[in-house]
Amino acid sequence: MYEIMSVYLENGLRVVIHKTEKSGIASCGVWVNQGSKHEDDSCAGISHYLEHLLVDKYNRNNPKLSKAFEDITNNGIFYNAMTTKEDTSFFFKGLSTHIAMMLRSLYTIVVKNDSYSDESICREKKVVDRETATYYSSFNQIKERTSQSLYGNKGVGRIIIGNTECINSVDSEQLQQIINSSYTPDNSTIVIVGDVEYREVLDIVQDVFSQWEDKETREYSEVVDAYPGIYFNTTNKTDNAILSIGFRLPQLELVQKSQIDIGATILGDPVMSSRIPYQIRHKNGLAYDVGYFVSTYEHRGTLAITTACKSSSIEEVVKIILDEITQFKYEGPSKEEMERAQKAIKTKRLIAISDISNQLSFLGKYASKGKMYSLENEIRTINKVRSDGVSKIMREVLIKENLGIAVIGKCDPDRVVDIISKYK
Amino acid sequence: MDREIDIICNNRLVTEENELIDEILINNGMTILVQLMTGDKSETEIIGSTDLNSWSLKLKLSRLVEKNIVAVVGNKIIAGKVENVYSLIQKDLNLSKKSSFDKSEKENIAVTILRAATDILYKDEKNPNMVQASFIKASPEKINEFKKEIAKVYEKYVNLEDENEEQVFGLINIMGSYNGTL
Repeated sequence: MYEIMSVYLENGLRVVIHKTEKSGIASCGVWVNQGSKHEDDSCAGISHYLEHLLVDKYNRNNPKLSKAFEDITNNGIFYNAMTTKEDTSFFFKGLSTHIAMMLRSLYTIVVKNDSYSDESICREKKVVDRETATYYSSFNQIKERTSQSLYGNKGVGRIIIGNTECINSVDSEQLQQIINSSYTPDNSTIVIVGDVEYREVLDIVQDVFSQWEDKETREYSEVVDAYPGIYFNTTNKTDNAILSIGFRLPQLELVQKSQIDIGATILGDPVMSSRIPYQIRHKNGLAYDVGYFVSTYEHRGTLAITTACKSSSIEEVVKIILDEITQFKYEGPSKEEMERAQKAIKTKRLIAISDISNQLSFLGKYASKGKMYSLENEIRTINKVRSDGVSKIMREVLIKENLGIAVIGKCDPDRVVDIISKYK
Repeated sequence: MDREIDIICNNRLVTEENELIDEILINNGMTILVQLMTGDKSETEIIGSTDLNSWSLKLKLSRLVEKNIVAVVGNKIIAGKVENVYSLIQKDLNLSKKSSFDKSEKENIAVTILRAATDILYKDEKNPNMVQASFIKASPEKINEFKKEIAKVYEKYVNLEDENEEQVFGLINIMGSYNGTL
């Protein structure tokens, strides 16, 4: 049996607790719905930069924060923070006996943390500048460039890390505005997973987080480009290229997400020698890295096949990917492919479930958007997926009207566009 | 760690090195320009009036915007989906100054313009319309006089515009030396 407790404090803060087996370990985190999708061109990357400042234990203006981190470090507690397109999260993992300390530290980070020393501001700008340069000089950006091609520079199409120019010009007033309008209880979710007692941990949460003032949250309504499109950067001087063919996904319930995961695995999982990796890598030797990813957001998502190849092979690789997708749409998955994909995903999830941090991330991602999905839920759902369900959703999703392409590498965009125009 | 690629720190959907002005105008770009000569247009409106698909349109438009030929002047939001509205900045595209165009390219451009113009103007047969091509042997001075007179006629009728009327009429002139056989 697994259970999830979901309650609201009087200030509007959602609290989600998931008790797991006896392990002596607990993990907790806060998700604030403030990510790159809430930004515009004038403040691209500010959510991520603010995340850096909020966990800056050397910020001289906030001795309480420094003390909290000292306690955390001295007690062997792991911490991390992350900014995504939709939220910023801060989380801890440690012994269950330290859950009160972890929760108090989360409160210090998220609520009592609005003054940053000049030194802190300057240093973190430099750090983010280096992080930005690393990101934009690596092929890792292809995932986000795919979403950018599908949704434009809007909503979930926006790049999380933003740009250096914006970050260098960020002032305290802008940071304060985000703290005041986004870091509010009813825009946040606190999640606790692990070897804890519901009542006990809820009492601690109530004791600590009830002090968070109930303030008005900024309004937000997501807008994306009407048509999925393109991302091309042909200025890379080397012969390496990376490309991604993506499709817009609608808002998905868990069962649909499992169907998509299975379909995408059959198409693009590199380990399983799925259809596209087989054609590109094993049959034609055109690439070493071939894979897929599925990103889901609150209202939409992205399914994409990615590969790193020679720039001179871009057109050939695009044709192969589209041909394989077309064939899959009409054939659907074979029985063997279904079984293989189901087992592969189930194994991945079972491995994930053994780490409490993964459980926390999974639950936090969904709970902060009002959905109570746990990894246990997902495993159960994967078992129930049938091939006709996979065929149906893949036929609905893998259509021309949802298609976008992202290419980083020397190519002729007109010719690539001509190729994708022929996709049916 | 060695860089895999040069740093790309911008939000542009298309980043290219080449000076693509000629290709922009020849390769479907002119079709978009002709559309925008009739007024500001959204992506849907341009797609609806041409045979361009959305990827191709986005590619051409991003190049035209990059070259400051076209600008985004607004947007339309319907049910959480937004599309830009584009306007022609460079109202007078003087092709004769583009020395890099060879004769066949110029003819291609002229053909594209005429085809697009007839598409736009000749659809509604109930209203007055005219598609006319004239080839005249004349001195440059005479043609300059002709050009000035056309400009006057233009000015006269443009000044007579009635904002209360719903019907819009378009007139596109192309004049230049012709090297073909008469």
